[in-house]
Amino acid sequence: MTPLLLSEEKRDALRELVNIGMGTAAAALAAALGTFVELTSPGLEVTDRGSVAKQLDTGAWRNSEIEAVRQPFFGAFTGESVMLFDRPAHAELAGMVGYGPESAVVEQQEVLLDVANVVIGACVNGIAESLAELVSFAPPTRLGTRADVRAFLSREAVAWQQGLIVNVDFKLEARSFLSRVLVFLPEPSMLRIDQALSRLLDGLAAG
Amino acid sequence: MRVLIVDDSRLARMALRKALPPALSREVTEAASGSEALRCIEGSRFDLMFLDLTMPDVNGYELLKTLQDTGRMLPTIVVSADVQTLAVERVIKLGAIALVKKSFRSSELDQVLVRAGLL
Amino acid sequence: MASPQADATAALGPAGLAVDFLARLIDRINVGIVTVDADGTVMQWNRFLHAHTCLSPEQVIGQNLYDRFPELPRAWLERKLRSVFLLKNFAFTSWRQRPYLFRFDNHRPLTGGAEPMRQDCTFIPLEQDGEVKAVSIVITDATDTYESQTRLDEAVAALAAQSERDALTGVYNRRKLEQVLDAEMKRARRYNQSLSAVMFDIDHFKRVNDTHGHLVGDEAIKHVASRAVAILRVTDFVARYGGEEFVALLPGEQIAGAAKAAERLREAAAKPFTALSEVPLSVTISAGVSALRPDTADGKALLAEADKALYASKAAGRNRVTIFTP
Repeated sequence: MTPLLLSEEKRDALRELVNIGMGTAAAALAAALGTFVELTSPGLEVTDRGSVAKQLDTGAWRNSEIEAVRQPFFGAFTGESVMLFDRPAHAELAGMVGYGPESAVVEQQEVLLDVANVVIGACVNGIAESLAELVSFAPPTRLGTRADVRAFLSREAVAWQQGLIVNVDFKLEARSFLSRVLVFLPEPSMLRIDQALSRLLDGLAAG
Repeated sequence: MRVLIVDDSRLARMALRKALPPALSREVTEAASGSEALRCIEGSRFDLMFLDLTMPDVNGYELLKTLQDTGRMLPTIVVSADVQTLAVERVIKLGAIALVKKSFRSSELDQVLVRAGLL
Repeated sequence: MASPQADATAALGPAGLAVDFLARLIDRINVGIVTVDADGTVMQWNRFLHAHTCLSPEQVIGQNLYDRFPELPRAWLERKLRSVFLLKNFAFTSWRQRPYLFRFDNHRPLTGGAEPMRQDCTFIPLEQDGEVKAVSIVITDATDTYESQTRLDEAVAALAAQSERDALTGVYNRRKLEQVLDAEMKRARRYNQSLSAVMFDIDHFKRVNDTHGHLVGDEAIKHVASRAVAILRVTDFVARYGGEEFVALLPGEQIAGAAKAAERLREAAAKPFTALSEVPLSVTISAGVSALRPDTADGKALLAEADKALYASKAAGRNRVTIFTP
């Protein structure tokens, strides 16, 4: 297993950058959903691909029916992000934007894609902007259910040994959902982020 | 002026400290949590507090409420990633002077300080 | 001081092209581009859109997008645009979720059917002084992809209908079992041969799923299926009948022999195994055995008897084999 690149200090810094990004996302979602949105990222881990898979089968996600969205990004750092929702999130979010239970599955899926686009954008941009780097996004697409996520992790995530797991607590007024953003980064990109974080921290420490 | 910075992220505290104008940078204390902040406030007098909202045990909203309820309120500028209108309204109602968006490239802080008559 | 004309052609936009070249590129590019401000007023309308709507820029620019195109899904589009204005992020739509934004005919020279053009859209924020002042909507024709996908889906569906196997375990699926059952019944009757059926399932399966998760549950199903295939003969048929339920058909076997085989299966299934190379597990199965009799009506009846016997195994405490007695 490749040794994890980021120091504790840098992970703390990343956590804060993601947090800032989440604040912007919350504002946008609040406007879109017409309600108070609380988006907090209480946890950010740097981990390896195997652990990501394992975590889906234990703890809070063990019995969830998962709906997942994937979105690639490129530029100063390249990688792919996957956002996981639990089943209640799917139905509730669709309801919030005015789709009833009789509305088409694809319309409900579109809401998930839109929300994922906002949250993933916030997460990755939160990191990029604060590091004064530029990142662009490809369109989000539906990844699928738990089985599809597993297949993705074993097959397509092969280029990425390390990843970030960002747990996103998603609260809409009284309702709360489980969601998680996974950011997969190939080693060169992890290195670039590590270097950019060094620059940021050095800049802050200096006078 | 005795300044208290409350934020669970060391990076955020560093960044805010760096963004403070010289007039406010001389006597700065840092607290890494809501409860630590309460202890600091009980122990000494502060003239200005910069407060983050999303903190694990006692969050920003709760801290403001406690200070209000116990009559220990002090001039506060909330520095937060969450800038929804509803968030701004909430903190103003709880007695804060203003809410400033957290950013590493913001010049907003100076403007807010001037408007609040603290500079 | 240079003349205004020289200034205009000398002015370079982003990517190094003269600004008027850029304008021409936007106008002529083979995707639709329309730009609106925060109020929904149209600021720009390119040739692609002109061609598909027969509305020139002069007829659209300056007007409210929703007034000009009342068939647009206003509430959804306003929400979408609002998030781009706020977040300064790109947003996207795909034909897979939303077939089109503007309803255009699709202009395929030979195959152009009655289907409207399928569209992928990208929403691009245009910033000035740190704020998004306008959003450009780029509309791409995705009809070709839609048509390929439809043909692919149809081929896959046809293939699946012919498929005989259960994807998870590799044993036969229920549809195949029912076909085989019919054929074996006919043959057994014609040649006066025996035919037995064993119906078996995993005890307390829901508990396995709840305790260890669905993936381990799947492993348990695979384990039982593989034991069945190993123990039964080459001429026997093993099929996955339901979630954790299986049926085995044993042509030429009488009820006593079938019961013996079922007992060997019960023993083998109960042995501990490792799921997902780390989770130690053991499960048990209950089984019911039936055999063809002169008065057995049809295949369905044969299975129904095995089912009754399976039920008796459950009632008697599970992890056992019961033979059906009429």
